Amino acid sequence: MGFKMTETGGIDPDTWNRWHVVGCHDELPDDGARATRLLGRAITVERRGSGAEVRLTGGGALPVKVAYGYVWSSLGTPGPLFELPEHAEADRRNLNGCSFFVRTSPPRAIENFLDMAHFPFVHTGILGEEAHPDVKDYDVAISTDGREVVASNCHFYQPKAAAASTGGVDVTYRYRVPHPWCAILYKDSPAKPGRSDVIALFVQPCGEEEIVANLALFILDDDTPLPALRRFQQQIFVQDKPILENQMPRRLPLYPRADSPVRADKASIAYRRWLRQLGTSFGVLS
Amino acid sequence: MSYHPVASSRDLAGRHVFQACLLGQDIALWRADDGTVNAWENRCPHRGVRLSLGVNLGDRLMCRYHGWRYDSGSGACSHIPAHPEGPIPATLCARRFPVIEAGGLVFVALGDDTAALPTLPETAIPLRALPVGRPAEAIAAALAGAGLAAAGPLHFAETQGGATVHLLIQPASGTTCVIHGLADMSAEALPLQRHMSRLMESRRRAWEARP
Repeated sequence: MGFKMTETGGIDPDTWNRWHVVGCHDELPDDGARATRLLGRAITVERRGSGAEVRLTGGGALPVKVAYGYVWSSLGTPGPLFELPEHAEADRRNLNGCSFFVRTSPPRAIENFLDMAHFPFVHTGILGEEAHPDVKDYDVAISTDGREVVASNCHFYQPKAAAASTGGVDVTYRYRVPHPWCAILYKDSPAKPGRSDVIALFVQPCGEEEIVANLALFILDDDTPLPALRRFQQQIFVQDKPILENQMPRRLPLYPRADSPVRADKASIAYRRWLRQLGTSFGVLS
Repeated sequence: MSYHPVASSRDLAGRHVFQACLLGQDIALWRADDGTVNAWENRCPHRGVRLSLGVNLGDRLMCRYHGWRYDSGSGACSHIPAHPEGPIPATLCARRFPVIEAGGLVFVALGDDTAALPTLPETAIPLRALPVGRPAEAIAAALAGAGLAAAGPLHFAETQGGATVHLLIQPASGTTCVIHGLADMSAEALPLQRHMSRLMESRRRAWEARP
């Protein structure tokens, strides 16, 4: 390939040349830069009107893009960011549900986001309940252009599927993973039958075993007050955080027989295969 | 492989899962309702979540993440809630370590080729376990240097308050250890426990002090 890993400090080219989320634009401080980390490097992120500036600490400016309410940057030469057309739909409320620092690798967080089987045990009484633990068969594929993993026809019984829910329902999910550390969930909207709420997990890869998980909401809900929407997402995420921080090893194992997947883990199996195809080495064990 | 102390019997209370570390190996310890003590790799074979977060159901341990259940004794997975109709692969099993309970302590070996247990007093009360931020070998050298009688590489004895006190060192990691004490029952328990607690705390301060 002629690509020298030394130019990227040992980081694989796919990871090096992607856009990565480095903060929620609305939540950047009004004055001064915020210090954070990207792929193990210290960086600063500063709001500039509707744009932003990202710099290596004590070094040069990095590429910057503001999209979907977040600031994105890259250590390399990034191509286009993935499409999220729902962001531009006029009747949606777009907001950052919550951002949590988590001591885990970026792919562990994505794999957990794609996982339905934990709902009855980790999100008991909200996204699942122990009386309905079975995961029905669903479809998973890596897109023909290799650019994303898609899981569809996912059905699960949820006692309280969203902040606006009034009772238990069988919900239909569809997942897209258009970026190794970003996953998007399309979920039946309780307010607008036939349409989907969109919930995205944008993971900032601070290091191989430290992340900031941002839950982005693009939802069809004009009524639920903002604090209640945020509280719902926070409540769910604080249930996931101790699980993620107690997964060993912290980096996602891509070698065979590291874990014992079952049918319900089809999405995880496809996601791991896709990471191997991309040549991702950041945050994984090969 | 040698047996090393990893917990006091009282640490394995009913329906609890205790977390221990031996030579860098994270271990989940739990007692079934029938008394069986289980020492398993602290990692669910499914997705790697620590089993010490799980639920002790009395005869099975349930993983916190997906509710998979593993049988006491065999460690075999006997229930996968996501697929209640099964089948469960026969090889799906928690990784077990040899474990023995003796003298009020729980001993674990990391391999099957186990050596004999240390010789312990028949009736003894366990003292408060003391974690120390120094390697086991350094603490063994310090105890030997202080004139304690060595009963094994990581096993010492001394007389305190008229009782024989055994100190057994658990090599937790390359840089930390835990000292488990057993005191002869002939002494009155509480004054000796207080005395040993203060004595071991002061020893720890000296051991951990940077030169």
